[in-house]
Amino acid sequence: MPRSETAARSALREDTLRAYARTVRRRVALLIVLLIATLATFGLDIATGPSYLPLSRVSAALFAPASLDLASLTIVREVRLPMALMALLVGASLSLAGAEMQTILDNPLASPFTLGVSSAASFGAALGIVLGFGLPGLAADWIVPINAFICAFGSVLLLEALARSRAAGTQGVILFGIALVFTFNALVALLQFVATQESLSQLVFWIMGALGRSTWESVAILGVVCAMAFPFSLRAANAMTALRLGEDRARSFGIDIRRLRFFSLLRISALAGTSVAFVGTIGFVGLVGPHIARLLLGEDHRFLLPASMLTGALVMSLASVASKLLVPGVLLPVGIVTSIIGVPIFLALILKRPDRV
Amino acid sequence: MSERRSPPDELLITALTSGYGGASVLEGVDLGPCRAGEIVSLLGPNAAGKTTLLRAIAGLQPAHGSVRLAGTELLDLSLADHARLVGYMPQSLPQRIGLTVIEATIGALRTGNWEKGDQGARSLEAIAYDAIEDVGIGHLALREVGHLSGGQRQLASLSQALVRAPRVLLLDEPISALDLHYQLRVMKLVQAVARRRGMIVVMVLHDLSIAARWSDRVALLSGGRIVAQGTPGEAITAERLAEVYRVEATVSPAAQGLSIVIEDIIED
Ligand SMILES: Nc1ncnc2c1ncn2[C@@H]1O[C@H](COP(=O)(O)OP(=O)(O)OP(=O)(O)O)[C@@H](O)[C@H]1O
Ligand SMILES: [Mg+2]
Repeated sequence: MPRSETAARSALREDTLRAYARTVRRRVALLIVLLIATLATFGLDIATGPSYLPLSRVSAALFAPASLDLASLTIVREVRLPMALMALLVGASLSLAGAEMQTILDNPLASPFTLGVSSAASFGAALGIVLGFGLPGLAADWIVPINAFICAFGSVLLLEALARSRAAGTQGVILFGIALVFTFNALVALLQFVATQESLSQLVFWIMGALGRSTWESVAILGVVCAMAFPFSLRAANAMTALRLGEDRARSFGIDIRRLRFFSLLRISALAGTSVAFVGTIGFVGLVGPHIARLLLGEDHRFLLPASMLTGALVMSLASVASKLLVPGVLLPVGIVTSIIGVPIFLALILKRPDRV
Repeated sequence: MSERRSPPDELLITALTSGYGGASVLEGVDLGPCRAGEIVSLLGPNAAGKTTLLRAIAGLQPAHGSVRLAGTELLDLSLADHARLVGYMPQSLPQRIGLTVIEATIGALRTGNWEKGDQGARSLEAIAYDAIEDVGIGHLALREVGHLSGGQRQLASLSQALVRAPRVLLLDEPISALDLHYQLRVMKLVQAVARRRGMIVVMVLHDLSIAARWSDRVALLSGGRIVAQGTPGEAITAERLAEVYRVEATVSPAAQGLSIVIEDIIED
């Protein structure tokens, strides 16, 4: 081989390896930017609310509580803080669940919402709200979330059983998920039909998705679920990246796909089930969070999974802020606003990178 | 790249049966012994069971019988241990992959089940890039796999299998989408790597002339059975081609491999 060609080759090699290293650094930087943006929005979320509080009082409530009157303190510490934290946690959980789902089911349309997990949870909640049906011995406050969780979990187990049986491919799983959506929506509609006026309004509010009932207790529970799922997600990241290369290929690398799928679905049901149990159905973020992350950072799951959590948290937090500001003095259900906020972001990204979606 | 240990590997397949659900596809396959550094080509008509055979050897589907590599029974190994010894390039490749070529190749290394050999000190990125350059697509390393042409994607897929430096490499129609230049380039590369590492290569090919030119041994598979195996000259004869492929052919020795001319198909 002529010497100039050898030189050109090694130049290409150096350039490529440098460019790859640059890409990795850029992704880390993007993760940090996302984190900062999320924290900033979180701050904004605490600073806004239907009850007018000047910024000085908000920061006093956080950092110098002794100097503040009880009403302001309660508003910030017992209402706004849990709501804002809940927004972050729900966004992160649903988006992480969506990202994992899209990979293990090999379908960009997969999300807790599109595959019926949220609908199943709504059905569970409706059973509690309308018929008062629930596990015996539970405090009244817990009947609805526990029902929602059990139904979400059941629907994920069904999906997982189907994904496991070689009978149905990933398309089959998606079709089954869509069937679940219709089934549970019809059942919920049936319950709405027979519901009393009072339980109906409660149910509708729940179905729309709202952060208003967040308490420190629910925040803590979802926080624990999130904190427990995330390390296991990250540990599965390389296997999920390999799965993008095809199932046979990933197995030929020694990855036990069934195991990967099973534990992933377990995480998904815990994340989505708990989220939906506390705040009702919030659809869009589980589908769009992962797509935004993928558009920004690509498909290496070591970056995609944490980025999905951050984009989900960011979108939810923005939605929470918007739900307070869109109609002054009125707190809109955040589930509605998520879509209103998420769609433009999503469209902008699709138009920029149509191939990645 | 590492030189292989002594004694050299040997792959021997006996009475291998496999299938899908109730339907059996492989009806007792005996193949080999395939020796270290050799290329063995599997030939045969569509639906003969070639892919099934490779997947069974790779441990990707349930099979009975015996697949021995240097005294180790591969069918008894876990998927993870299997993956350390055997590399596999599937016939069909997924379309929508958002990973770049180098990310995908690094991805093949990150799962841990491969022999690092004497490459211990090198970074995964460097090992991956060299495998990509070996197949001749160094200039595509940073492109997304999903944006490549069919042939380029096949080359990227080959680099994902080669990079793990397996002792047995199974390639399912690795050159079916390649132009003339790359067909030759891949065959030369695979032969060179096999010889250098003492790796056993079993590949499915549809091009008989290429198989005859580059294989140390060929096996003809038909209806889930091996109907002939040996050197290309021994196994590929006009009578066998008539029997297996239903074609009229003339086969004659050539300077390299065989000269095979297909005259017509045989109507039933
Ligand atoms: N997933 C599957 N489920 C059921 N049957 C299958 C499956 N895959 C292959 N088969 C059947 O097994 C037989 C052998 O298929 P195989 O893919 O091994 O053929 P092949 O020799 O690789 O053919 P080709 O040259 O077309 O790739 C065929 O009859 C096919 O229909
Ligand atoms: Mg095949």
